[in-house]
Amino acid sequence: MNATGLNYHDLLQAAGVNQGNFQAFIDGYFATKYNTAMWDGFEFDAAPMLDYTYTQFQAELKLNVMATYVNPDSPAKMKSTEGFSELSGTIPTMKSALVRDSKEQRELMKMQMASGDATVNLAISQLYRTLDQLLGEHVNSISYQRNQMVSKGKLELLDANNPGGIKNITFSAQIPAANIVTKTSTAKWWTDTTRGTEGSASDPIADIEAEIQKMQDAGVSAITIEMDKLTLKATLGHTKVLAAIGYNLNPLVADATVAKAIASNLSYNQKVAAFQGLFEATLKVTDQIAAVETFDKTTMKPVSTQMRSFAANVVSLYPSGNIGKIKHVLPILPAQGFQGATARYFNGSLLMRTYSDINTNVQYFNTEQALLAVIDKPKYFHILNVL
Amino acid sequence: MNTDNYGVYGSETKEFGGTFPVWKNIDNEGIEDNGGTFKVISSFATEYPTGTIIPTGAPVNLSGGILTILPTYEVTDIYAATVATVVKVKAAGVAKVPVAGNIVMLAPATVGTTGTAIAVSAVALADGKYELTVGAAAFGSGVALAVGDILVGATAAGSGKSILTVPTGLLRREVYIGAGATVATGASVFHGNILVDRIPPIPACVKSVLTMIKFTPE
Repeated sequence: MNATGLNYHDLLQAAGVNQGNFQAFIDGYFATKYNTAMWDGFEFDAAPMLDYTYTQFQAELKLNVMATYVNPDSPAKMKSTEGFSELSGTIPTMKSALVRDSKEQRELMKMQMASGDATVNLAISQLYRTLDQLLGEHVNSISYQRNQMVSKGKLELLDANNPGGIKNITFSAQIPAANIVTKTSTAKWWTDTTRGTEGSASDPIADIEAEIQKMQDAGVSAITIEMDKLTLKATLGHTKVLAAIGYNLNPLVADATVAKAIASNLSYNQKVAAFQGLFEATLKVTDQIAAVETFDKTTMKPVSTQMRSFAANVVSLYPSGNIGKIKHVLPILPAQGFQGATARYFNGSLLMRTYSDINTNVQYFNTEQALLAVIDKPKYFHILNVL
Repeated sequence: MNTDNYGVYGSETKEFGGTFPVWKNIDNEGIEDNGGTFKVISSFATEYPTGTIIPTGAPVNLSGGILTILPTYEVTDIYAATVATVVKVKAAGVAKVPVAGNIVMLAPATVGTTGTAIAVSAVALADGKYELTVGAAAFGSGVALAVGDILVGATAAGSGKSILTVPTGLLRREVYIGAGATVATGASVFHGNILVDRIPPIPACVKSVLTMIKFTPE
């Protein structure tokens, strides 16, 4: 018999992986790919939680009052101490699944015959791709959470971003309503959704400057301005912004028209640098895309719909540095004797399970993770909705 | 005659993998014994031309080693009882591509209920819909069709007719008829959990006889 070696329906088995070393496989192959600091300002909480309700102490900037000048023989008045406030909320659970049946197994075997690659190598590469897809889905979910929390102050589960899942649930970052400014009428930076017509009373520079001032008044000195790349690109084309950049580069220009002309001739990167130079803050540009899968009942095909991860037409301002924690819940492991393999990732928050059905030759890969990107200093967050 | 492609140039792409799931779960013992060959009345090549895809989840009757497909079509446009002569049905994902001469009826309330069936005189494909020419009042006097109604294959044209076959299960796996095929086989699942929006339309009367199938919407 001249059989290909890759005839196990269990991909793990074909790749030389078993219950005992599945965790080591993931740790080895994905040691660095997703374990880097990908969620700016957020890091995984050191300890997992045991249930789905989190509490988070609100971080304070700890502005110490000055000592009091007194008569040398007199004691000083005792000072008050700063309290703390606690934020609480609920952590959502997300899951994903891939299924692999014997038809795919046979296609893999055909590929092996065609490529001549070693059985184990091909199986390892297939296993890597399968796991990578699942881990990558969770990475995108966490990025989307982070970007929604920062840009909208909340994560809303809707049909658009969670089709087939639970809907109409909002996880709030608890940013004070007074910190969220929405431009209206002619003060909007643009008056149409295509960002083609500028609001006659709009002034992006003054709007951002006003928020920076509020933060500085509250004692925040290092400030980050964050925008979606496409929003920034449109902003850099705004007449008032161009004029400000032009004046900034050459304060002696005759008028705004000339200033605009100067700025218009700059390259994109020069414009970004000049724009950032206008503010006492660091500019962070986010360019991330998430996607969801739905099933089109008319064409009977799955459809992947893309969406910008960071909300459009929003300028977020927050204290530079750490701004929150990724709260996560300890997953429950299957009992010993489970006929499959498990592994964990992302500080143990993600549980991956794989098992096979020996009758139908179907192998399942399931993931489960409960987490939420929680902002720990919401009172210092400012969100500017410009459209 | 030499039929290889020596000296002839070109390229093609063949896709592997990249499937989407239709069965959420199939019970360990949920597949009917032996499977069967798809029923042929006149000739295989005519009834299952090259390129035919019989989709996963197609309702089938497995009996005596023969798999008979119950064709089902979802109505996409209103068919007025006395005026309309054409029924429009969704083209994507049908269990069997309709051809002139096929006999259809409005899915009855139960698989044992009879109704009026009609032979389709012509079939056209436009805008992702099959346009079945059936004539006015085709499904009985005063019977109109609403969007979402389901037509099923019938035993013969005329009044008092039954559905073509009573399904015993749903097709386990998509069947593709390649060049040179002379026979096709399939497996029938009677116990499992299927994503109902990804399969051919299943009328209520069929769901009621497939009691061990869970039809899960998107």
